Amino acid sequence: MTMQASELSFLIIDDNDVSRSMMRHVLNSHKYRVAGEAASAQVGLDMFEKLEPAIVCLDIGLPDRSGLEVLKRMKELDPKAEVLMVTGSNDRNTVMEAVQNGAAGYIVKPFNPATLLRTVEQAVAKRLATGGLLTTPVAKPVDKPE
Amino acid sequence: MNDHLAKPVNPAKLYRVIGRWCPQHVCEEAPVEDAPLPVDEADLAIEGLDVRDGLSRTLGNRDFYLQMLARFRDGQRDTVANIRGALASDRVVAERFAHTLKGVAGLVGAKAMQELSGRIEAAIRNGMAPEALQPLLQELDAQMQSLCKAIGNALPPAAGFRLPENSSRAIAHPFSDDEGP
Repeated sequence: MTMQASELSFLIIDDNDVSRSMMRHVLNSHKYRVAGEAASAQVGLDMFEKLEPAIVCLDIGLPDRSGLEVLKRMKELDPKAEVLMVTGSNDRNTVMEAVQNGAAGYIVKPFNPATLLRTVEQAVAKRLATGGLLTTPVAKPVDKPE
Repeated sequence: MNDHLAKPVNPAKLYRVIGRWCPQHVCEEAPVEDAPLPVDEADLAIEGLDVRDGLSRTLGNRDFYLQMLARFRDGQRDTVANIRGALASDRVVAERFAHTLKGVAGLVGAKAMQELSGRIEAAIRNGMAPEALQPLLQELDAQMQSLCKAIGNALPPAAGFRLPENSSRAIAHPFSDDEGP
């Protein structure tokens, strides 16, 4: 089974519509497929179960539940899901807790497109490499190793 | 040995090496550059906004940027009243209103408002009394009124203002939900 980055689906969970729209705009501009958006933890978790996204952009400061709790639940439901935490704070304890609970990356608001895409590309690479998608037998290299 | 990866493994490097041997799995997206974006903001000046900064966050898409400004105005114009109201009953909620404004102001290029709302957020978190917060809230209120007016003057007539193709609303959502604060 082969899989391209553009085939991976994204879910955006953020309580602010401007933030969600700008993330979607940047992701769509680079051919990433955003399957859905949610403004709350509960709706986000419902969509996570139904859409089974490969990558989630998850705001930490949600109105009904902490994004860190949502992260834990998502990793229980699908350990392969790559969850990128989005927040206006880079508090060290919060970052550590997110990483310890399996977050794939950290995006600090206000994000710029380059930073957002760099973080997303790392999550995409990890998902494609470790998500059980590489089952094609290894062939000859296309160029000489460096 | 066909290739080599040093620990700790960086996912991006791992994927590059895999891509060398399995090219069908290589991400085809263009590399991300930090170079300035080709934005044309010469005819778009809005008091209270760093338009170039805001446009760069929408990849230079002027129509989309204006759409985000309209949503910012409609979604944040009551933030000061919301903070004042929440201060009496739930300081965590008051702090969250300020926190949300800080983030979204930064996204649209409202740098002074981003800085001020960040100060208010910190003051609430650190226990500053509501009375002592009033000068900061008055300053934020004045900024907000001025910015909302400036955004309104910059927006084209509503009838001719539509989201561009491939924007957020152009893709059907399987679910919908309400906006938070």
